[in-house]
Amino acid sequence: MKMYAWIFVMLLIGTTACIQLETICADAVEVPVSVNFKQKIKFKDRFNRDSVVVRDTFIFLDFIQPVGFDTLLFTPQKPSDSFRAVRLPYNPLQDTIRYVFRYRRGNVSRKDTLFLGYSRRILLTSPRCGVRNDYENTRILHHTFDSLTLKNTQNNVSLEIFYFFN
Amino acid sequence: MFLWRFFIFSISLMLALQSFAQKDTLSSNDSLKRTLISVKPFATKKKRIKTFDTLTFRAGFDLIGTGQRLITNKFALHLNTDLAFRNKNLVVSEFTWASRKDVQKATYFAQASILRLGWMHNFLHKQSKIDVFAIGLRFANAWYKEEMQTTLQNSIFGTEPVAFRQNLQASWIELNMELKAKIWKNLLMGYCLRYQFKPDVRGEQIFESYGIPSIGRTGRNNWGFQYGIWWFLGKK
Repeated sequence: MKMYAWIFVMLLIGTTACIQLETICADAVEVPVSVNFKQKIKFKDRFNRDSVVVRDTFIFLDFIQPVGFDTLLFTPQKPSDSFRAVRLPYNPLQDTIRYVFRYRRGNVSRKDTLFLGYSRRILLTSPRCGVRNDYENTRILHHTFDSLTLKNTQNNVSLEIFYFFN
Repeated sequence: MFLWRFFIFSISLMLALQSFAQKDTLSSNDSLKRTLISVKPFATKKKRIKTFDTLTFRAGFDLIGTGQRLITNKFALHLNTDLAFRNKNLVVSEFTWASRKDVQKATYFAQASILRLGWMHNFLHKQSKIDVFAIGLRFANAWYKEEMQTTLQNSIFGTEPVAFRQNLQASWIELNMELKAKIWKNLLMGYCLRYQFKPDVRGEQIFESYGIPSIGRTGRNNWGFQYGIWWFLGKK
Protein backbone atom coordinates (compact mmCIF):
# COMPACT_ATOMS: atom_id res chain seq x y z
CA MET A 1 0.00 0.00 0.00
CA LYS A 2 2.84 2.32 0.94
CA MET A 3 4.54 1.63 -2.35
CA TYR A 4 1.39 2.53 -4.34
CA ALA A 5 1.14 5.79 -2.42
CA TRP A 6 4.77 6.51 -3.18
CA ILE A 7 4.29 5.82 -6.90
CA PHE A 8 1.20 8.02 -6.93
CA VAL A 9 3.11 10.91 -5.33
CA MET A 10 5.96 10.53 -7.80
CA LEU A 11 3.51 10.50 -10.73
CA LEU A 12 1.81 13.61 -9.35
CA ILE A 13 5.14 15.43 -9.12
CA GLY A 14 6.04 14.25 -12.59
CA THR A 15 2.83 15.49 -14.17
CA THR A 16 2.82 18.86 -12.38
CA ALA A 17 6.44 19.43 -13.40
CA CYS A 18 5.33 19.32 -17.06
CA ILE A 19 2.77 22.09 -16.63
CA GLN A 20 4.23 25.38 -17.76
CA LEU A 21 2.13 28.41 -17.03
CA GLU A 22 1.77 30.89 -19.82
CA THR A 23 3.59 34.14 -19.15
CA ILE A 24 1.49 37.26 -19.36
CA CYS A 25 3.63 40.13 -20.60
CA ALA A 26 1.24 42.98 -19.86
CA ASP A 27 4.12 45.16 -18.61
CA ALA A 28 5.91 44.93 -21.94
CA VAL A 29 3.15 46.79 -23.79
CA GLU A 30 4.03 50.36 -24.75
CA VAL A 31 1.48 53.09 -24.23
CA PRO A 32 0.67 55.02 -27.44
CA VAL A 33 -0.56 58.59 -27.77
CA SER A 34 -4.33 58.90 -27.49
CA VAL A 35 -5.79 61.28 -30.02
CA ASN A 36 -9.32 62.60 -29.58
CA PHE A 37 -11.12 64.63 -32.18
CA LYS A 38 -13.04 67.66 -30.93
CA GLN A 39 -14.90 70.51 -32.51
CA LYS A 40 -15.07 74.08 -31.34
CA ILE A 41 -18.24 75.86 -32.29
CA LYS A 42 -18.12 79.64 -32.06
CA PHE A 43 -21.34 81.55 -31.68
CA LYS A 44 -22.75 84.78 -30.26
CA ASP A 45 -24.75 84.46 -27.07
CA ARG A 46 -27.90 86.49 -26.29
CA PHE A 47 -25.76 89.36 -24.98
CA ASN A 48 -23.90 89.35 -28.29
CA ARG A 49 -20.71 88.08 -26.71
CA ASP A 50 -18.38 85.52 -28.39
CA SER A 51 -18.81 82.03 -26.96
CA VAL A 52 -17.16 78.70 -27.77
CA VAL A 53 -18.59 75.25 -27.21
CA VAL A 54 -16.27 72.22 -27.32
CA ARG A 55 -17.81 68.92 -28.34
CA ASP A 56 -16.55 65.47 -29.20
CA THR A 57 -16.68 64.84 -32.90
CA PHE A 58 -15.59 62.29 -35.44
CA ILE A 59 -13.76 62.46 -38.71
CA PHE A 60 -13.88 60.39 -41.87
CA LEU A 61 -10.30 59.21 -42.15
CA ASP A 62 -8.80 57.96 -45.37
CA PHE A 63 -5.64 56.99 -43.49
CA ILE A 64 -2.97 58.08 -41.05
CA GLN A 65 0.56 57.41 -42.22
CA PRO A 66 3.90 57.71 -40.41
CA VAL A 67 6.15 59.70 -42.73
CA GLY A 68 8.93 57.57 -44.20
CA PHE A 69 7.09 54.29 -43.70
CA ASP A 70 4.72 52.41 -45.98
CA THR A 71 2.20 51.35 -43.34
CA LEU A 72 -1.22 52.99 -43.47
CA LEU A 73 -3.06 53.16 -40.16
CA PHE A 74 -6.77 53.53 -39.54
CA THR A 75 -7.91 52.87 -43.07
CA PRO A 76 -11.72 52.60 -43.06
CA GLN A 77 -13.43 49.35 -44.01
CA LYS A 78 -16.08 51.32 -45.89
CA PRO A 79 -16.34 55.04 -46.81
CA SER A 80 -18.95 55.80 -44.14
CA ASP A 81 -16.68 54.63 -41.28
CA SER A 82 -15.68 57.41 -38.92
CA PHE A 83 -13.25 57.74 -36.05
CA ARG A 84 -13.87 59.53 -32.76
CA ALA A 85 -10.41 58.70 -31.34
CA VAL A 86 -7.24 56.95 -32.47
CA ARG A 87 -4.12 55.69 -30.72
CA LEU A 88 -0.86 56.53 -32.45
CA PRO A 89 2.27 54.50 -31.66
CA TYR A 90 5.61 56.13 -30.93
CA ASN A 91 8.61 55.20 -33.01
CA PRO A 92 10.77 53.15 -30.60
CA LEU A 93 13.85 53.62 -32.79
CA GLN A 94 13.83 57.44 -32.98
CA ASP A 95 13.09 60.45 -30.78
CA THR A 96 10.59 62.00 -33.21
CA ILE A 97 7.63 60.85 -35.26
CA ARG A 98 5.73 62.63 -38.03
CA TYR A 99 2.22 61.55 -38.98
CA VAL A 100 0.15 62.57 -41.97
CA PHE A 101 -3.64 62.57 -41.54
CA ARG A 102 -5.75 62.39 -44.69
CA TYR A 103 -9.45 62.81 -44.04
CA ARG A 104 -12.63 64.19 -45.53
CA ARG A 105 -14.54 67.14 -44.23
CA GLY A 106 -17.77 67.32 -46.16
CA ASN A 107 -16.84 66.60 -49.74
CA VAL A 108 -13.38 68.10 -49.40
CA SER A 109 -10.35 65.89 -48.83
CA ARG A 110 -7.77 67.42 -46.46
CA LYS A 111 -4.28 66.57 -45.35
CA ASP A 112 -2.72 67.64 -42.04
CA THR A 113 0.55 66.75 -40.37
CA LEU A 114 1.49 66.18 -36.78
CA PHE A 115 5.13 66.19 -35.70
CA LEU A 116 5.89 64.92 -32.19
CA GLY A 117 9.11 64.87 -30.20
CA TYR A 118 9.81 62.81 -27.07
CA SER A 119 12.57 61.15 -25.10
CA ARG A 120 12.87 57.38 -24.75
CA ARG A 121 13.80 55.38 -21.66
CA ILE A 122 14.37 51.69 -22.16
CA LEU A 123 13.19 49.28 -19.50
CA LEU A 124 13.60 45.54 -19.17
CA THR A 125 10.23 44.19 -18.09
CA SER A 126 11.66 40.69 -17.69
CA PRO A 127 14.12 38.57 -19.66
CA ARG A 128 11.18 36.44 -20.84
CA CYS A 129 9.00 39.36 -21.94
CA GLY A 130 11.75 41.58 -23.28
CA VAL A 131 12.05 45.34 -23.19
CA ARG A 132 9.72 48.25 -23.47
CA ASN A 133 10.27 51.94 -24.07
CA ASP A 134 8.82 54.51 -21.75
CA TYR A 135 8.23 57.80 -23.52
CA GLU A 136 8.68 61.01 -21.62
CA ASN A 137 8.58 64.70 -22.31
CA THR A 138 6.25 64.37 -25.30
CA ARG A 139 5.88 67.68 -27.10
CA ILE A 140 4.37 69.01 -30.34
CA LEU A 141 7.11 70.15 -32.69
CA HIS A 142 4.85 71.15 -35.55
CA HIS A 143 1.29 70.69 -36.79
CA THR A 144 -1.10 71.99 -39.42
CA PHE A 145 -4.41 71.42 -37.62
CA ASP A 146 -6.70 74.25 -36.52
CA SER A 147 -5.72 73.80 -32.90
CA LEU A 148 -4.11 71.14 -30.66
CA THR A 149 -3.91 70.54 -26.94
CA LEU A 150 -1.46 68.09 -25.38
CA LYS A 151 -2.25 66.61 -21.99
CA ASN A 152 0.53 64.76 -20.17
CA THR A 153 -0.66 62.64 -17.31
CA GLN A 154 1.40 60.15 -15.31
CA ASN A 155 0.80 57.13 -17.52
CA ASN A 156 -0.85 58.58 -20.55
CA VAL A 157 -0.34 61.25 -23.18
CA SER A 158 -3.49 62.47 -24.82
CA LEU A 159 -3.84 64.86 -27.67
CA GLU A 160 -6.97 66.79 -28.52
CA ILE A 161 -7.32 67.91 -32.12
CA PHE A 162 -9.83 70.74 -32.58
CA TYR A 163 -11.72 71.73 -35.67
CA PHE A 164 -13.36 75.10 -35.80
CA PHE A 165 -16.91 75.63 -36.98
CA ASN A 166 -18.48 79.06 -37.11
CA MET B 1 3.51 32.84 3.47
CA PHE B 2 5.71 29.74 3.59
CA LEU B 3 8.58 31.71 5.09
CA TRP B 4 6.35 33.08 7.84
CA ARG B 5 5.06 29.62 8.69
CA PHE B 6 8.61 28.26 8.74
CA PHE B 7 9.71 31.15 10.94
CA ILE B 8 6.87 30.66 13.45
CA PHE B 9 7.43 26.90 13.43
CA SER B 10 11.16 27.35 14.12
CA ILE B 11 10.56 29.78 16.98
CA SER B 12 8.03 27.50 18.63
CA LEU B 13 10.31 24.47 18.14
CA MET B 14 13.23 26.35 19.66
CA LEU B 15 11.17 27.48 22.67
CA ALA B 16 9.85 23.97 23.19
CA LEU B 17 13.37 22.50 23.11
CA GLN B 18 14.59 25.13 25.53
CA SER B 19 11.80 24.52 28.02
CA PHE B 20 12.52 20.80 27.79
CA ALA B 21 16.21 21.38 28.48
CA GLN B 22 15.48 23.55 31.52
CA LYS B 23 13.06 21.07 33.05
CA ASP B 24 14.06 19.77 36.49
CA THR B 25 14.69 16.12 35.69
CA LEU B 26 15.71 15.20 39.25
CA SER B 27 12.42 16.08 40.94
CA SER B 28 10.28 14.57 38.24
CA ASN B 29 12.13 11.25 37.93
CA ASP B 30 13.34 10.70 41.48
CA SER B 31 11.39 7.87 43.17
CA LEU B 32 12.51 8.99 46.66
CA LYS B 33 10.80 12.35 46.13
CA ARG B 34 13.77 14.18 47.53
CA THR B 35 13.47 17.88 47.81
CA LEU B 36 16.12 20.10 46.40
CA ILE B 37 17.89 22.32 48.86
CA SER B 38 19.96 25.18 47.81
CA VAL B 39 23.58 24.77 48.77
CA LYS B 40 25.71 27.80 49.07
CA PRO B 41 28.77 27.32 46.90
CA PHE B 42 32.19 27.43 48.45
CA ALA B 43 33.64 30.84 48.45
CA THR B 44 36.09 30.96 45.61
CA LYS B 45 38.59 33.50 44.54
CA LYS B 46 37.09 35.79 42.03
CA LYS B 47 38.64 34.93 38.73
CA ARG B 48 39.36 37.88 36.57
CA ILE B 49 37.72 37.37 33.24
CA LYS B 50 39.80 38.62 30.38
CA THR B 51 37.99 40.50 27.66
CA PHE B 52 39.50 38.17 25.12
CA ASP B 53 37.77 35.19 26.75
CA THR B 54 34.37 36.73 26.17
CA LEU B 55 34.99 37.15 22.48
CA THR B 56 33.59 34.54 20.16
CA PHE B 57 33.70 34.30 16.43
CA ARG B 58 31.49 32.53 13.93
CA ALA B 59 32.07 32.15 10.20
CA GLY B 60 29.89 30.43 7.70
CA PHE B 61 28.23 30.39 4.34
CA ASP B 62 24.78 30.03 2.84
CA LEU B 63 23.75 26.72 1.31
CA ILE B 64 20.76 27.92 -0.74
CA GLY B 65 22.67 30.54 -2.74
CA THR B 66 25.41 28.14 -3.73
CA GLY B 67 23.08 25.19 -4.26
CA GLN B 68 20.60 27.00 -6.47
CA ARG B 69 23.15 27.03 -9.31
CA LEU B 70 22.26 23.39 -9.93
CA ILE B 71 18.66 24.13 -10.85
CA THR B 72 18.60 27.82 -11.82
CA ASN B 73 20.68 30.34 -13.72
CA LYS B 74 21.49 32.17 -10.50
CA PHE B 75 24.41 31.87 -8.16
CA ALA B 76 25.21 33.55 -4.86
CA LEU B 77 28.04 32.93 -2.45
CA HIS B 78 27.30 34.48 0.94
CA LEU B 79 30.18 34.51 3.40
CA ASN B 80 29.03 35.44 6.89
CA THR B 81 31.05 36.32 9.96
CA ASP B 82 30.13 37.61 13.35
CA LEU B 83 32.16 38.70 16.31
CA ALA B 84 30.31 38.47 19.61
CA PHE B 85 30.97 40.04 22.98
CA ARG B 86 29.67 37.74 25.75
CA ASN B 87 27.57 36.21 22.98
CA LYS B 88 25.20 39.13 23.49
CA ASN B 89 26.11 41.81 21.01
CA LEU B 90 27.15 40.65 17.60
CA VAL B 91 29.08 42.68 15.07
CA VAL B 92 28.15 41.08 11.79
CA SER B 93 29.60 41.33 8.34
CA GLU B 94 28.67 39.55 5.16
CA PHE B 95 30.22 39.46 1.75
CA THR B 96 28.21 38.25 -1.21
CA TRP B 97 29.27 37.50 -4.72
CA ALA B 98 26.29 36.83 -6.95
CA SER B 99 25.43 36.56 -10.60
CA ARG B 100 22.55 35.67 -12.88
CA LYS B 101 22.18 35.14 -16.59
CA ASP B 102 18.99 34.82 -18.61
CA VAL B 103 18.91 34.03 -22.29
CA GLN B 104 15.35 34.47 -23.44
CA LYS B 105 13.68 37.24 -25.43
CA ALA B 106 16.31 39.52 -23.94
CA THR B 107 19.75 38.34 -22.89
CA TYR B 108 20.41 39.70 -19.44
CA PHE B 109 23.50 39.27 -17.32
CA ALA B 110 24.18 40.81 -13.92
CA GLN B 111 26.98 40.42 -11.43
CA ALA B 112 27.23 41.92 -7.97
CA SER B 113 29.56 42.24 -5.02
CA ILE B 114 27.67 43.08 -1.86
CA LEU B 115 29.02 44.07 1.53
CA ARG B 116 26.85 44.14 4.63
CA LEU B 117 27.80 45.46 8.04
CA GLY B 118 25.66 45.63 11.12
CA TRP B 119 24.86 44.86 14.70
CA MET B 120 22.60 42.23 16.22
CA HIS B 121 21.35 41.46 19.66
CA ASN B 122 21.37 37.83 20.75
CA PHE B 123 18.44 36.89 22.96
CA LEU B 124 20.04 33.54 23.90
CA HIS B 125 23.19 34.97 25.45
CA LYS B 126 22.20 33.86 28.98
CA GLN B 127 21.37 30.30 27.97
CA SER B 128 24.16 29.52 25.58
CA LYS B 129 27.60 30.61 24.50
CA ILE B 130 27.24 29.17 21.05
CA ASP B 131 23.60 29.34 19.96
CA VAL B 132 22.17 32.51 18.53
CA PHE B 133 18.72 33.91 18.15
CA ALA B 134 19.36 37.49 17.18
CA ILE B 135 17.65 40.45 15.63
CA GLY B 136 19.43 43.44 14.23
CA LEU B 137 20.00 45.92 11.47
CA ARG B 138 22.54 45.91 8.68
CA PHE B 139 23.60 48.45 6.13
CA ALA B 140 24.31 47.00 2.72
CA ASN B 141 26.07 48.33 -0.33
CA ALA B 142 26.21 46.61 -3.70
CA TRP B 143 28.54 47.22 -6.61
CA TYR B 144 26.97 45.63 -9.64
CA LYS B 145 27.01 45.56 -13.41
CA GLU B 146 24.19 44.79 -15.80
CA GLU B 147 24.38 43.81 -19.44
CA MET B 148 21.44 43.50 -21.77
CA GLN B 149 21.12 42.52 -25.41
CA THR B 150 17.86 42.47 -27.26
CA THR B 151 16.10 43.53 -30.44
CA LEU B 152 13.67 46.42 -30.46
CA GLN B 153 10.79 45.16 -32.56
CA ASN B 154 7.94 47.08 -34.05
CA SER B 155 5.62 45.98 -36.82
CA ILE B 156 5.51 49.49 -38.32
CA PHE B 157 8.96 50.93 -37.66
CA GLY B 158 11.09 47.83 -38.04
CA THR B 159 13.66 46.17 -35.81
CA GLU B 160 16.96 47.21 -34.36
CA PRO B 161 19.38 45.15 -32.25
CA VAL B 162 20.58 46.96 -29.14
CA ALA B 163 23.15 46.21 -26.43
CA PHE B 164 23.64 48.06 -23.19
CA ARG B 165 26.06 47.80 -20.28
CA GLN B 166 26.08 49.74 -17.05
CA ASN B 167 27.95 49.80 -13.75
CA LEU B 168 25.87 50.88 -10.77
CA GLN B 169 25.86 51.01 -7.01
CA ALA B 170 22.98 50.43 -4.67
CA SER B 171 22.52 50.63 -0.94
CA TRP B 172 19.75 49.67 1.42
CA ILE B 173 19.01 48.87 5.04
CA GLU B 174 17.89 45.46 6.18
CA LEU B 175 16.28 44.03 9.25
CA ASN B 176 17.66 40.58 10.01
CA MET B 177 16.53 37.73 12.18
CA GLU B 178 19.00 34.90 12.68
CA LEU B 179 18.68 31.56 14.36
CA LYS B 180 21.79 29.40 14.66
CA ALA B 181 22.05 26.28 16.75
CA LYS B 182 24.86 23.85 17.49
CA ILE B 183 24.50 20.56 15.64
CA TRP B 184 27.90 18.95 16.20
CA LYS B 185 30.98 20.11 18.13
CA ASN B 186 31.62 23.65 16.88
CA LEU B 187 29.36 23.36 13.88
CA LEU B 188 26.19 25.41 13.81
CA MET B 189 23.29 25.40 11.41
CA GLY B 190 20.48 27.84 11.01
CA TYR B 191 18.81 30.46 8.95
CA CYS B 192 18.59 34.15 8.43
CA LEU B 193 15.43 35.94 7.42
CA ARG B 194 15.74 39.50 6.23
CA TYR B 195 13.64 42.39 5.03
CA GLN B 196 15.47 44.83 2.80
CA PHE B 197 14.14 48.35 2.60
CA LYS B 198 15.04 51.94 1.70
CA PRO B 199 16.76 50.97 -1.56
CA ASP B 200 18.76 53.59 -3.39
CA VAL B 201 20.40 53.08 -6.79
CA ARG B 202 23.26 55.34 -7.80
CA GLY B 203 24.97 55.81 -11.15
CA GLU B 204 23.97 56.60 -14.69
CA GLN B 205 21.26 54.22 -15.82
CA ILE B 206 21.47 53.70 -19.56
CA PHE B 207 18.49 51.41 -19.20
CA GLU B 208 16.44 51.23 -16.05
CA SER B 209 18.18 48.92 -13.62
CA TYR B 210 16.37 45.59 -13.50
CA GLY B 211 17.69 44.02 -10.35
CA ILE B 212 20.58 43.15 -8.08
CA PRO B 213 21.60 39.49 -8.13
CA SER B 214 20.63 37.64 -4.94
CA ILE B 215 18.60 40.64 -3.76
CA GLY B 216 15.74 41.14 -6.20
CA ARG B 217 14.22 43.85 -8.33
CA THR B 218 15.52 47.36 -7.83
CA GLY B 219 13.27 50.13 -6.59
CA ARG B 220 11.25 47.98 -4.25
CA ASN B 221 11.58 46.35 -0.84
CA ASN B 222 12.65 42.71 -0.93
CA TRP B 223 12.63 39.70 1.35
CA GLY B 224 15.64 37.47 1.70
CA PHE B 225 16.28 34.07 3.18
CA GLN B 226 19.44 32.12 3.85
CA TYR B 227 20.00 28.69 5.27
CA GLY B 228 23.59 27.99 6.12
CA ILE B 229 26.28 26.48 8.26
CA TRP B 230 28.73 28.24 10.61
CA TRP B 231 31.83 27.28 12.51
CA PHE B 232 32.25 28.56 16.05
CA LEU B 233 35.58 29.79 17.42
CA GLY B 234 35.99 30.75 21.06
CA LYS B 235 35.70 29.49 24.60
CA LYS B 236 32.54 27.49 25.19
